[in-house]
Amino acid sequence: MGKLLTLRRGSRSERAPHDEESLLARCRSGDREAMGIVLGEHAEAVERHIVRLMGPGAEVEDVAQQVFIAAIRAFPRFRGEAKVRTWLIRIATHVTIDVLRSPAWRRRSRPKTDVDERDAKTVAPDEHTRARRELRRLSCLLDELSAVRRVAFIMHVLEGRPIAEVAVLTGASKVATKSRIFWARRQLLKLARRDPVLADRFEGGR
Amino acid sequence: MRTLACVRAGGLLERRRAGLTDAERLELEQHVGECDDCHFESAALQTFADAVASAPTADVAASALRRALADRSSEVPPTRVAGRTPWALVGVALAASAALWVASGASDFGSSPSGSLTTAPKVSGRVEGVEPAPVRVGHGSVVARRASAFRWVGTNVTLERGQLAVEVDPSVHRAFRVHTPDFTVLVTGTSFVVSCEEVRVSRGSVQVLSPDGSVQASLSAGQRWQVGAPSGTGAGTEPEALTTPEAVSEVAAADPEAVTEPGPVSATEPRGAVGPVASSERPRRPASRPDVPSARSRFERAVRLSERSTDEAIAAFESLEREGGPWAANALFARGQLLMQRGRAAEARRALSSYLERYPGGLNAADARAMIER
Repeated sequence: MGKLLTLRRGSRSERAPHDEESLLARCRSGDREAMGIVLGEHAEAVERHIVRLMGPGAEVEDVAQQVFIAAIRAFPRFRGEAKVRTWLIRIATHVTIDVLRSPAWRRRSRPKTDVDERDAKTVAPDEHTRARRELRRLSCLLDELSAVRRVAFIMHVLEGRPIAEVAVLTGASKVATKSRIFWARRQLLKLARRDPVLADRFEGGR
Repeated sequence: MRTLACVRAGGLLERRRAGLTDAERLELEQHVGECDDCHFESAALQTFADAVASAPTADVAASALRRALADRSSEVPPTRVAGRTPWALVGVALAASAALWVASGASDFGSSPSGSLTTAPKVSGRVEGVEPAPVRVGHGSVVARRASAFRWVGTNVTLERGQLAVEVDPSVHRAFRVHTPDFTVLVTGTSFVVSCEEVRVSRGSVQVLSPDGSVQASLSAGQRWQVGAPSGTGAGTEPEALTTPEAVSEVAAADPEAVTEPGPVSATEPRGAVGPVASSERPRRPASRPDVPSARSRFERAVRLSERSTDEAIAAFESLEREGGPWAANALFARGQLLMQRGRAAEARRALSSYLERYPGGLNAADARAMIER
């Protein structure tokens, strides 16, 4: 590939259905330029999805690259029965679950006590900082959950995706998904109650 | 105190973002207003949801996509047929994978190994020749040295030739085995080098098992063990570390070479010696057995035979039993199981009872008991 592809985002609505089909056909035949256009339209959504599932960090770019590589490899099998975005989000969900399960991820996981101490000693100066700290604190608590529980919980409870959609995206049954969400919520709130800063904030706020 | 209303409120809180009816929202608000526990949950979940929604992106997707598009390894082979998947082939592949999976006794499907965060490991595979980059196997990584060849299923690596440098993540707390024709290295987290003749441990500790499962040596960092050295240090015995006949049967159907060969080794015979890594003596290669079919291959043949002729298979199993050795236990159990499957319950019970009597701690003992009680 001699030249860098120019990514075009958000131009899907400008294309006619016929063009869309021919573009997908080119993707299936391995045309990298067409893949660049199609995947580029959803690249931001993929990144946002990964960040929500695993939290912000340097790993996001690697995971996103892995998602795109998987998508490029799988494009010849993409039949167009689902939307490209749904298909990509599904790939991203599976890749992220694999990463969250890996020992390497567990090793790099943030030490909870460290964050607790730092936060407990500091007064949040503004909303933005507070939001960042809450996200970091949440990430610490989420690191305590198993990968599948974490992902199901975030997608349903925090993002508001329906159970059926979460089940499809994670490749699990609805019953299993509900169970994962239930136990994740229970475990997370238990951890949150033990967290001095969160306990103080939510109970003190009444 | 949690009440039934709290349980319902918890369910509503779970669904709050996905959508509640007006009545449900009102019910939830009323309950949250009265219940401290649920108020906490509601506030915490709301905060977490806001935090996730506002998670900042670093706008790295474009560069990730460019790198992915530039990555030639992601190219699809040109022979691949676009469109419909040949389901028959998929079925065969799945069946073969399942058989290998069961045979390996592996239990960590889906777990990712150490190393790169982003590459999912293959459940099974084979590497031949020098592989300078670590190959991810279960929760470990394997580097092939010299002209090596090895294959793996789950966390069971079978070294065919050459030498491997193995590193296993101790945080996973799962068994990782490297099988050679003459011994098996069992490890739960360490770093070591293994060839068909010796094991050298650089970090942590490993156990060297003989094919019948007995412990040949326990090695810690800096120690080495060789096949065929004069003094032995094996201590204690363990149940047989052999696969179940069902697994062997499935493997034999899928890949006759996929089962580790125990070899004709006496459990009591000392076969190795522990020494410091600094020792310079060359390991002695085990004597080859070119003309006589190994017990393993005869066992596999008997398993295959059982699909065509029960009596011939039983005769083959009995022959293995009479010879003794590490495959005798498996042969006895397999005979009992085969008889049970063919409806010859009385004979099967006799064989399985005999198995339990002779190998009370055998790997198939629990299955044998269950079959007898059934």
